[in-house]
Amino acid sequence: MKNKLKLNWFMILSILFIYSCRQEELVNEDRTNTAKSEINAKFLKLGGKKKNNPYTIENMRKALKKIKDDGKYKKNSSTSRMVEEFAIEPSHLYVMYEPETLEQEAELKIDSTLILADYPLDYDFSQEELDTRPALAEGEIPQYFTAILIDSEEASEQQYVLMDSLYIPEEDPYFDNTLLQPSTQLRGTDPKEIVTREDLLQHLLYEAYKLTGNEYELEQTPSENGRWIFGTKWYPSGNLQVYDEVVGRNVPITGAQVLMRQWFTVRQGITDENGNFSTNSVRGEARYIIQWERYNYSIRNGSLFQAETRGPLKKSEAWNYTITGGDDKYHAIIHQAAHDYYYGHRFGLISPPMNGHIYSFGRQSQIKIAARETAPWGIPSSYSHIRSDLTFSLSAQIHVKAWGRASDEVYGTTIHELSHALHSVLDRASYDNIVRDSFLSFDSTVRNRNRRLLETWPTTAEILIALDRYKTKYNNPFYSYYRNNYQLQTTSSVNDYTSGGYDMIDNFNQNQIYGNAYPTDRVNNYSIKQLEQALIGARYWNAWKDNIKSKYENPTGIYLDELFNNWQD
Amino acid sequence: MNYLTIGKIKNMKTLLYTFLILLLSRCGTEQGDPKLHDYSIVNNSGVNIELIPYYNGVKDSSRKISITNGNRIQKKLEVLPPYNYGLSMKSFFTSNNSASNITQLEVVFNNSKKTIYEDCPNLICSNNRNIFDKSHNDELVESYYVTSEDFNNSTNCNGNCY
Repeated sequence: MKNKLKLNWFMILSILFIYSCRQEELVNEDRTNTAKSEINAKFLKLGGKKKNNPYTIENMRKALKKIKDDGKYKKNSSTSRMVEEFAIEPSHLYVMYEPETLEQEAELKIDSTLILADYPLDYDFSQEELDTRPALAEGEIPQYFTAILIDSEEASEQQYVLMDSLYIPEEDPYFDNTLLQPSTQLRGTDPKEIVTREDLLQHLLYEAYKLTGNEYELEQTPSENGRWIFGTKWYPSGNLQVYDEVVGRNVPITGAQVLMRQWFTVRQGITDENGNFSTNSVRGEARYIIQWERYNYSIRNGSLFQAETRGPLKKSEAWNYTITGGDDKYHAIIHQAAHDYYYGHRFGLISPPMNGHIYSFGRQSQIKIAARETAPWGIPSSYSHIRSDLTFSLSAQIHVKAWGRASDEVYGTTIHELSHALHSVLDRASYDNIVRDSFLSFDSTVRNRNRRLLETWPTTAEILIALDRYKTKYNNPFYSYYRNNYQLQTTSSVNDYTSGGYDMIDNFNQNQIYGNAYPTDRVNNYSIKQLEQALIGARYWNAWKDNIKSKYENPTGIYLDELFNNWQD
Repeated sequence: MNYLTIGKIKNMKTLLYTFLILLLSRCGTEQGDPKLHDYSIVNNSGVNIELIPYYNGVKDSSRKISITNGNRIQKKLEVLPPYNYGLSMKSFFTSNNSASNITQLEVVFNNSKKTIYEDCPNLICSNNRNIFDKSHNDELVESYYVTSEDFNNSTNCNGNCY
């Protein structure tokens, strides 16, 4: 009797367990179907073309069945065993992430193995269609799409909406060649016969693409004597340059992230100091894309989506490209400034805010730089972590509004805003105090002295780093930044964006050269690193001066009072 | 909860939202009024003139600008924070506002006489009539007058100046 009771309970619990799992499965399936419908409705409206996905498990299995049914191999041979025994299981998951806060988005961005796109991967979009998407509202976070390995940590965490289970044969180690052969030496695959694993791969791809109406993608690759070579492996590479009119020629884009996109497969390369890049191998045709994003920062286009430059579809061909203007040049120069600051020598300064780093105020998220072409409701270029925090981190911390300006001005503005960001992580409490008093104090004296400190620091970094690029790196001894490195600026004309910081570094006394309307500057040979460290604890203009005096020995330090007094509160 | 209380709550919410909007709008750096740069080159020389730039030492006649006697050319630019751009006399001779590669400017008077001004280090020129001198480039509003004296002091071409 007791045993019968136990058995009954066991049966009831089992049924309940299976039912709840099935319910969860149904809920997930519903969620997937709903998500797919919503995505279709949203992106078809943009003009994008939804492609029938050859890589779904269902389509790949159909393709394999067709191959087996067609029997294009010798019966009772090792080939027939290979084909008969071959089975398709999911290798990847095509997923969508829908972060609701920047904190959730930051969790995604901290994972450097995830390469995310803010558009679905089974759609065809032109650059124009992507660029003319309705802009995200300030604070709105896009949906992100990517493919993840089925046995990855990301897959087990399940914080995504599953769009499809995939089998990507090009990624299957089963089909890896141990040697890469130049395509001219490849045997190619006979469309009528399967002999090797390579042949099976080619036939599988062909059948799956044909089944889904995508065979035109494969047929663009010319065959060799009627043999297929569309799935063969090759190593993408290339060179990227940008025309910088201030330098007067094309210059390499360094540190840019180049992606090779092929449906759900992504390869990544970073351009070196000469603009050269290469990626791991891909099979068949793939599209080169420059994604203007690195781990620490992401450049957003005017609509606040991820800034990208779509390159061509290529197979076994390098991509050597020079950006000469438009959005792409704007993004390239902003990227270059951010890259130089984050990954260059930056005169020994601390880094601008680093993604995932734990600072005294908490964990930092990836810095978003909005490359604005027009300013909505009057926002000029700016940095604000406060605006970002108050909007639950939904707003881009940095806005660069320098569209249509000379390359060095775009570069310098980006450096300027990143220097504010650096200041904010160097000493958050003092920075917040300075900002608050700069804008919210009822006392004009307080506002002026705070604002002068707030803006003179980034102006200093801007001048120095722009000179480093345009004068030193590109060897132009005649180059000077705006208004002769801000030296041609009278004391009365500007009270906040002063030359005072750079004046402590250079050996140029404006008053002596240009006249009494200009600052008296007998201070020289401080380093920008010293000026940076003296910011710690400084909450207004003269406090910075006092820190510099107390921390550093410099024979011209006796003239610091004179220099700082050029600008009155 | 009566209507009076609800009304007060609504007022408080409105006040709070207004405050937040004001706060957010003041929370970024780079706040300030636009500054208007206004640069002119005025031809009061008594004859027609042509201004021909040199880039990296190479004359580029395709970029020349003609100003008839008594007329002017003018450029205006509204500059926003961080105020790291603006106008100079060089700005007339570039496609955007960066003019870092212009090295000389030739002023040709009626295709009979000419003067060549060279860009000066630190904008300090030995000749204060030099259009590149700081005295013509340091304010928000600048007008450079080409005068009859400039014409008289220019060099005779002894034929075609080109």
